[in-house]
Order: sequence, then C-alpha cells, then structure tokens
Amino acid sequence: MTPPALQLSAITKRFGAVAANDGVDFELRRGEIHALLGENGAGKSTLMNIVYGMLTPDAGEIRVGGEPVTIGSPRQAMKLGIGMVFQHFMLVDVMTVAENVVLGAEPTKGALLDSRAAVARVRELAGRHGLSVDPDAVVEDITVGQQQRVEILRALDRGADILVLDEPTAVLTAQETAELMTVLRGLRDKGTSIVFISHKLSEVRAIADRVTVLRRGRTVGTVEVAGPNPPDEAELARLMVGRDVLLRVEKAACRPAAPLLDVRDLEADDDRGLRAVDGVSFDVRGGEIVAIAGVDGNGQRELVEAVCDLRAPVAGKVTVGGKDVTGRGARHARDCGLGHIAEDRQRSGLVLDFTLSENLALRDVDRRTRFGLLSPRRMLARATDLLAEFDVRGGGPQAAARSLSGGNQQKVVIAREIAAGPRVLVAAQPTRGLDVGAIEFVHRRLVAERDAGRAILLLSLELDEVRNLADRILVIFEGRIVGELPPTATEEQLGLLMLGGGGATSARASAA
Amino acid sequence: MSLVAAGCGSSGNSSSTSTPAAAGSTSTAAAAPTGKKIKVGLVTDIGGLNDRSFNALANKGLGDAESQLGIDGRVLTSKSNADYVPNLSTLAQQKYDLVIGVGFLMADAMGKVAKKYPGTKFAIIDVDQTSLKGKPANVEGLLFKEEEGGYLAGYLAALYAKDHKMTTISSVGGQKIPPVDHYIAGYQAGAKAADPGIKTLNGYSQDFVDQSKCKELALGQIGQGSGIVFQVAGQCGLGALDAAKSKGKLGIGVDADQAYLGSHILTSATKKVDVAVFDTIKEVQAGGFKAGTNTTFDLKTNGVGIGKVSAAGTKYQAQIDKVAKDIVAGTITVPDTVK
Amino acid sequence: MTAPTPSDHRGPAATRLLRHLSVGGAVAPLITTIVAFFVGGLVVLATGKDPLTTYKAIFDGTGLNWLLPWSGDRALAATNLQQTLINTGPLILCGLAVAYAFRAGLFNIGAQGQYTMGTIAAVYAGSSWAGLPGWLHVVLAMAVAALAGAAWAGIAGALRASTGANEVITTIMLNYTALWIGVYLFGLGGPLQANDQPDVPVSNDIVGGAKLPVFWGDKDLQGLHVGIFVAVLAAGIFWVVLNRSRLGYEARAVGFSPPAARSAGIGVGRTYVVTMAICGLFAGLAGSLDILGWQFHLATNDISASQVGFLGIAVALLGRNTAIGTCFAALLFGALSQGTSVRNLDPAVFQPELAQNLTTVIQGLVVLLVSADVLLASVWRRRRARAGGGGAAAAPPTPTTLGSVSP
Repeated sequence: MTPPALQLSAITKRFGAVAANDGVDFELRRGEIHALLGENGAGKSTLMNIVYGMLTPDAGEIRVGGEPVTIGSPRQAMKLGIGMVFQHFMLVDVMTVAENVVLGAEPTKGALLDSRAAVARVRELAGRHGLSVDPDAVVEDITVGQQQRVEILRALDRGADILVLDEPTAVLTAQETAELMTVLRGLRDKGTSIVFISHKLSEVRAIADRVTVLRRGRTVGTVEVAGPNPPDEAELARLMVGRDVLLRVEKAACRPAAPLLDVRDLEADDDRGLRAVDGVSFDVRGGEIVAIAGVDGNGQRELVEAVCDLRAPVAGKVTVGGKDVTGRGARHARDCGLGHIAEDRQRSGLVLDFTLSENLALRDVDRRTRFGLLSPRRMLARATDLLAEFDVRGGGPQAAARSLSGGNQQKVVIAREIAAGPRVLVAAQPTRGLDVGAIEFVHRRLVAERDAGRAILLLSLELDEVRNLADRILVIFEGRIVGELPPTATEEQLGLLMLGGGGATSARASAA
Repeated sequence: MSLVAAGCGSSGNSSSTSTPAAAGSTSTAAAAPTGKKIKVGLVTDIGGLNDRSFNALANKGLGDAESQLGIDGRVLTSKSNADYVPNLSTLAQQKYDLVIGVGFLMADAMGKVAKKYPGTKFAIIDVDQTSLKGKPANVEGLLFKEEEGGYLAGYLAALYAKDHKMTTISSVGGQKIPPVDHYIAGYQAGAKAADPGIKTLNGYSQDFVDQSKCKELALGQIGQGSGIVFQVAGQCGLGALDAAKSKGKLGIGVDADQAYLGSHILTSATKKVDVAVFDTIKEVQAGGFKAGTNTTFDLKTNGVGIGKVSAAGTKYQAQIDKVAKDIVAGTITVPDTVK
Repeated sequence: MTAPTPSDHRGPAATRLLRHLSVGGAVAPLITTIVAFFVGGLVVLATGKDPLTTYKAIFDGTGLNWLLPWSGDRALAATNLQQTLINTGPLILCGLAVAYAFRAGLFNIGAQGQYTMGTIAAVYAGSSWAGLPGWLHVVLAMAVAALAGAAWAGIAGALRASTGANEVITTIMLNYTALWIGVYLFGLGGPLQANDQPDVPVSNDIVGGAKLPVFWGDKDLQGLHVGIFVAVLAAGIFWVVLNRSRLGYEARAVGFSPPAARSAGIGVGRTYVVTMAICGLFAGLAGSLDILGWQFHLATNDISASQVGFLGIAVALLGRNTAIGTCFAALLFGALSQGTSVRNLDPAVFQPELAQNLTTVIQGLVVLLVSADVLLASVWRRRRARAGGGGAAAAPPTPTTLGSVSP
C-alpha cells in the first residue's frame, strides 16, 4: 500500500495561551477529496497554514509521501507538491490570467518574459484539467469563480499534487459551486489529492470521500462519506458542534397581522445603470416571514437597497408601518421602524475597526447622547447587556468587531438591529458564511422576532433556509416577482420558478 | 572696458565664496585693520544667501568690510517672515554697532525694532526711510535707481532682438513690489527706446525662492515668442534663466553680474548692494552715519549698471555707453513704475 | 504585491492608512523621532561638526532650556521659548485640521489654503470695525477666520460628496486658488491693499484692539501672545468632538467604513462636507493666530512664503492624528524651526546655512519614517494575521482569528 500523500501527527500550535491546534492528526490519501470540517475557529485554517509553510507547528510531525519533512515556507511547500488556494485570492488584478498563473515561474526568452509561451502553457494546463478560462483575460474583468480557477491553475502549474482549498465556496454562487465540484472531481480522478476546508455540511457530503472533523483545535474523528453508510447532516453537525443541532427550526403557526412593509411597483437600477428591480410589489405583514428566493444576481441586492433607502428607486413606493419612506434617506427609513441585517456584514453591517460598543450604537447614536455628547459609560453598559442577551462570544464591548468570528459578528449586527425595536426587519442572507451552530441561532432569533409581531423580509440564496423559515415564498427572476409559493413547495417547484419557469432542471436547486 | 561695466567687475562665483566668508571673521583675518573694530550684523530676507544676487551681494559687502576694514560681522538668514523681528532684535540686544536689513520685505520689522532700540544704528536696503512707521531717526535707507540699470539692459536687449528678428522680449518678476518694478519699468522703457515696435511681456512668480515657478513663467513667455528673458526674482529667477538656456534663448541676470551662468546671459542689470553695504559700514566706522535719511545709489555714483556683456552683445557696446552717458547727464529720464 | 480580489473589506487607501495611524501609542512616534535625530546627527557629523554640541545649541535655541532654571541666559531663553511657542500654536491647529480629516478617511492636503483664507479673513476683520471693544473684536476676527477656513475646506468636502472628486486634488488646487486670491486682494491696486502704502502689496494693519494680548515678553517685539492657549484649547475640543460627539462618531464610522456608515443611516456625503468644514475651522483659526498675534498685516509674499499648513501634514502624521500627539508633534516642529534659526547657532558650532537644511532633513525624515512605520505596521499585521492572530489583512469573509478560537 502506498503511503498517504500527506500525514499529520499530533500537530500542536499555540498562540499565547490558546491552542489553535492541539495534537491534531490528519491523513490525506492519494487521489481523494478529504474535507476538513469544523466551526469557525476550530483550527482548520491554522492546520492548513502549517501544511503550506506559513506557520511553524510547536510540536508534531508532517510526512509528505511517507517522508518526514519540515515546511518552513510556502516555497518549500510548493517544492513538495503542495498548493494552496486561499479564500481571498492572491492575484494581481491588472495582470492577465496567464501572467498571474506563471507569476514566480515565468517562462523567459533571454531577459524578457515570453508571454506567448506563458499563454500556451496556461492554455494547455487548463485544457488538461478541464478548467476553462481565457489566458488573455485580465483578472479584474473575470468572475470570482474564474479567479478561483486561476488560483487552482497556478498551484497546478507549480506541480502541485496536493491541493488545499480554504473555504473555496464561501465566495461562489450556487452555479459556480457546482462547477467547482466538477473540476475538483476531475482533478481527483487524475490523481490529485485534495483537502477541502468547509463548514457547510451539504457541500461536504456532496464532494468529499472522507471527512475529518475538528473541534476546538482537536481532531474529533474521520468518517467515510463516500462509503456505504454515509453520515447524515445531523451526525456531522453533532460531531462539529459537540451537541445536537436543530437543522430545522421549530416554529408555531404563523399569525399574520396588518401589513407593516408595503412595496408598490418598485423599480431600481444597478450600479451600471441597468434596470435590476423591475416593478416589484409585495407586502409583509406583522408576524410573518416572507422570503424572497432566487438565483443570485436577479435583483435581490438592489431590491434590498431600494427598500432600505440605500439606493434611490427609479419609481415606486415603499411604506413602513404606513409611512412613506421612499427616497428619503436611510436614516428616515430607520426612524420609521425599518431594521436591516446587511448582506455583507463586514462591509456594510459593521464598522470592523470600531469596538462592539461603538458598533452597537451605530443605529441610534443620537439616543445615546447626554448633553449632546456621547456617554461611553452608557454605551458600554448597553453593549454589555446586548452581548449577553445575544450570546456574542470572543470579546467584550471594548473588543474590535474585526477580532470576532463571522458568526459572532453577525450576532452583533442582529443584536443592534433588533435592539432598535424595528417593526420591519429586512434580513439579507443572514446566515451566509456561518457554521451550523450560528445558523441555528440566527434562525431561532428570526422566528422569535416574527412571533413578537415584527414583519420579516428574508432574502436568501439557500433554498433550505427559505423553505425552513418562510411563511410565504416569493420568487424573484430578472428583477420581477414571478410567483408566490407556500413553504411546503418542493425544491423542484421553486427551482423551476427561479429559473424563469421554463427549461429548468433540478441541478441548480440541488446545488443551492 | 566701458563706463558702466566697471565697478566690482565680473566677480565670477561670488556666491560660493560668500558662505565661509561670513564665518571666518577674526581679527587675524583682517590683513590691514584700518579702523575702529565695530560689530556689524546683517539680516537677510527669506531668499537666503544662495540667491546669487541680492542677499549674496550684501553678504559680499560685509565680507569685504571684514577683510578690508577689520570689522566683526555676523549674518543672520531668515527662514520665514517670523524671523525678521527676532533676528533684528537679537543683534540689537547684543549691542551691534550697525544692523543692516536686506530687503524690502523687512521694512515693517525694521520699523518696530529700530524704535525699540534707539541707541543702535540701522540701515535697510531697498526701503525708503521715510516710509517706515514712525520714521525712526536711527535708520538709514539705502536705495537704488534700479530702473537705470534696467533701462540699459532693455536697450541692449531690444537692439539685439531687432537684429535677430525677434519681436518680443520679456521679464519675470518675483513680486509686484517697488524694487522689482523699478527694474522692469526701466527695462521696458529702454527696450521701447531702442525699438518702438518691440513687444514686451511681463509676469510675476509671487516667489523669490522656488526656481520652478520662475522657470514655468519664463517657458510660457518663450512660448509666446520671447527671445530674451530678464529675471528680477532673486533665486527664483535663476529658473527663468535656466528656461532661456534650455530653449536656446538669451537671459538677463539681475542684481549681481550673473555672466558666470554661461554664454546665454546677454548681460545683467546690476545693483551694487555690496558697495552700498561696504560704504555704509565704512561710514559708521568713521563715525559719519547718515541716520534718518536715505542714500540713493544710481548710475552716476556707479551704484547700478549693467554687468559683463556677452560676445553676442559686444557690438552694441558703444550705443549702450552713449545711453548711459545720457542718463547720467539727465537727458534721459527713466520711469520707475510699470504701466 | 498581491491583491485580495473577491471581497476587499479594507476600503480605500486612506482608510487603510488611517487604520494603522490612528492606533498605537506614543512609542512608535518617539522611536521615529529619535531615529530622525540620529540620522540628522550623522549628517552633522558628515559636515565635520560635533552632533552633540550642535544639538545642544539647537536645544538652547528652542528656548526649552528655560524650563531648566539653572541654565545660561534666562532672558535669551525666554525670548527663544516665546518664539517656539508662537510657531507651535498655528502648527497645532493645522495639524488638527489634517488629523480630523484623516480620522474620517479624508486626506486634507489643503490646510495651507484654509490657513491662508483664515489669514485673509482675520486681517480683513482685524483692520475693519475699529470701534469694537477689544475682546469682542479679537473673538469676532478669530470666528470670521475660522469660518473662512471652514467654507474653503467645505468646498472640497462638497465636491467629494456631490461629484466624488478626490479631495487630495481639490484641496491642492484650492491651496493655489487661496494664494492667488490673496495676491489679488493685497497686490498693488487690489481691493484690500493698504490705503497708506500704495507701492506695497500689503494689507492694512489690524487695529490695536484686534491684537491678541501678549502675556510674556515684549509686545512690540513679537512676544508670546495668548494664541497658544487657543490652540491647546482647540486640541481639547478636537478630542471631545471626535470621541464624544455624534459628529465625530459619525466621522470615524465613515472613515473606517463608508458602506457600513451609510447602511446605518449616516449621511456619508454630508459627513464629508461637515468633516472638511471642521478641518477648515482649525486651519482658519491658525491663520487668525498669526495675524492677530504677531504679524498684524498680510503681505502677498507672506502668503506665498508660509508653509505652516503643509507642515501640519507632518505634524498630524507624527502625532498619529490624536489631539495630544498633534500638540507634541507641533511643539517638536515649532521648536526645531526656532532652534535651528541662525541667530541661535554660533557659526563655530554649526554652519547656519546648514542648520536650516538640517531642520528640513529632520522633518523629512520624520515624515518618511512615519510612512515607513505605517508600512512596517501593515506588514507586521499581515504576518500576524497569517499566524492566526486576528489582524487587519486576513479577515474576509469568515475570519479565522484568534479571538474566535474559544467558542
């Protein structure tokens, strides 16, 4: 039997008093896709940074192809045939795909870069592995999914036969995710060994041959996924979190009251000036969750921004609790009782360099003043209460928002928006990038707010989430609401509508 | 040698020697200490000693006085206008016998300090004593008829331009202030006298230090057809001369004889600040200070003139000498304000 | 350098620089200063002089030796210290003008122009309204100057808010515009040129009542006026506004993350305008201190020769955009400028000509090192972030940070 491609034994890495990896064992066989599963902060990335030579372990042994090695730098890792694709890409935006791929190992003609050879090399490599991408395209002009392929190509170009992907799907659309899966399977079948870091259970089950679960820096266990008795999601979730996780939120029957959010004939353009929201009308009643489902890029972002008055609508009207908020500025909308859990918490939800206490005051700073001046003491006291109430961990009110994990950051956003006591809560992809534990929290909280009589508008790309939470589902396609379905609708029904009603296959829905 | 080009002659690199000259003043350096050992302080304006014209010349006058008269000299340069009052009053406090302020920009500070130290003798270059606030009696104004030198330079420039099919000549001033405008007024009048059809351009850089500003201005003028650029902007003006050189045009220096800059310097309109400083020190040493009045240096007293005329201009020397004689004789009246 | 592509949460360059500059204590700036002086000492050594004697002479020249009662000539030290502090006041204010913008993610390169508008307004107000009671005249003149600076800076803010025009470019252009406005107003034949000096491009003198009281030294010979207290008080106000007022809170939020601020209902454009206007208040006030404190009139050459607004950038950088840091950095630069003035340096100790250059060398080094310091901080954070230690660079979208290790 050939030795495993990569074997890690008893790897320990400490940062100060905290052990990010505490005696971790991990084995990657040749030609398998091995998922590394764990909550945010479980030590997955630390482990892989050690493998890639960016961190040095305090203890433990690394073997590559059976030989014990020390990996002191990414350069050494590459020499050993280890390639890594980071979550945030290491590409030079203004250079072409081919230039990026060969960067660091450029083919030269004398002292000059031989760009023709570079293009040829990249084209050949891409063809061999079925990674379609135009070698002459400039990186900033191609999609995120294609950029990821450039990263993969770069690793392959350096002769990588061990490929580590750090949460590769976090930045991808459902379609791109499905394509990535195909690419990875192809690579595996040609003999590349792949480590796939993730915290998404469905993905892991779909792609991996085996799964190793990390929890709090320790190996919990390795399970076969591709075998005859694959574990279900609940099992994986339990391994990951250490307790039973409710993957479906239990909720009482919906008792809708009067409409609190009313959107009439709303039209809005996207940043390029193209019509993105094209005559959308709906209402959300107090005590109900209305979900807007759709394939990414069908006007969801613009719709949310127009409703929250972050984008000037071209036409139409938005009322919150009977008050017209159309085009009167985000502050006015918020004063009228609109809460907004922003799609991108790090960009628009939080000021990452502010403390939690400052972040929690963002919405209502005018109510936190005393003699016209801010009162840090009051802000701190309120923050302390909210952090406790919403179970935010990883730092007190004085900690910078940046230092928290994604799940805890999201809890801060939710705490702020709910504490403001909105009548209408717009939640845009509220669980994006969160692990199962945090997702559970967010879902429960949204249902609780519904039960408290708020009107909740949910936008999500995850069909499971939509079906799970919504009392009514509206499907958006090309900027229009193309249908309304009950939460009992099947994925096929939803998928059909999301693709415009005709020529749909279930592939997209299952990828989501 | 012509009448006007005499005087201090072509003192080539006065600027490079001026710096250590200020420092090396000990009694042993004075080969022939002829008079009383008095202390003389000099305060430059913000142009600094490297302006190769105005402050440098004043410094040279002080250096000459140190070596020839055996006096003790000290130079205080000013970095900003906030330095004027402290610089002047420091020297007065330290009981200097004579404190000389260089430049028009210092007039206000001079007025204040002179009033505060009535026992100290002050002289100020380029400022009319009667224009000082309170007209302090312990100040002597040292004035120049810059327009007379400017007239000669302009006359020469226009003659040259006419023979070389140039329609336009120009000037770059540092600021629209009297000592600058005197030069320019004379320059323009001289040019028109030599060739009534000539076109004159003029601009102000609002700066006496930054060479790039004058260069930019001069390049603009050359772009409008100017063949000869007269700089009246101290250190900044060197940039204007540089512009002329780089475009194959001629330049005219100011204050000091700037012929050493190269053959593109047609001539320089000179103002013998060094002579004025030296003479004033000598006067004070001899006990004959003319406080409370002005002393005016002009073509007649050899206080202004033009410097070395380049090879290109020597053929006009006789005409220039004639004009100079007429000015001295009073048959030509030179205007001192720019229209 | 590699560029993270998919979701760059770090914001524009100003924001990133701000993040590094606005944090951290006094240690880095202190080291920066020491290194700058050390390198300056090497320069002195290269000229064949003794760095220690030179620095001692410069120190004495600053007048800071007045604080050491046993040292030398008390009267001279007092005069020198007065001049140092006269320099320091406007430097503090210009530093604040730059720092405040910085905290809102804006580069205010226009403190010089705002200062100029302040001087113009102050000289106009100070030379008019002769009948007013002294204190009222002073306060009014300062207020008018501050408002003039605010209006001037507000133009850049409004352009940024309405058209997205980069404030670096607009403030630089407004510097030139201010200069030429001054040249026009006070130039020969200009509307505000002195009535009694037709040949001189200078304003009228301000009236006696509009002068800031001199509390130390000779009031006729540029003694120390109360402006330094105004500046220190302004630094206090700066702190309160930035850290305790809603305006400052919103400005900081916008500085760190415009999208998040916008999403929270903060008017980002409005914040740009208000922020720039506040910067202009400080710079305009700086102009009034010089006019009402010792200059008393404004000549066209004064406008073009002034550098205080530009020095303010270095002051803010060294002071890390904090109130207290700006005060100390301004004192350093003010003292340095005074200490290297020729009247305080015996040519035998150090050549006066070089002394001025030494000031520039040290100032330049400070700015360079502060920038290098930012670079180092950035590299260090990046490394630390890779080491799993929760830093700036490696966050999006699900940060693997140390803070989240313990669940």
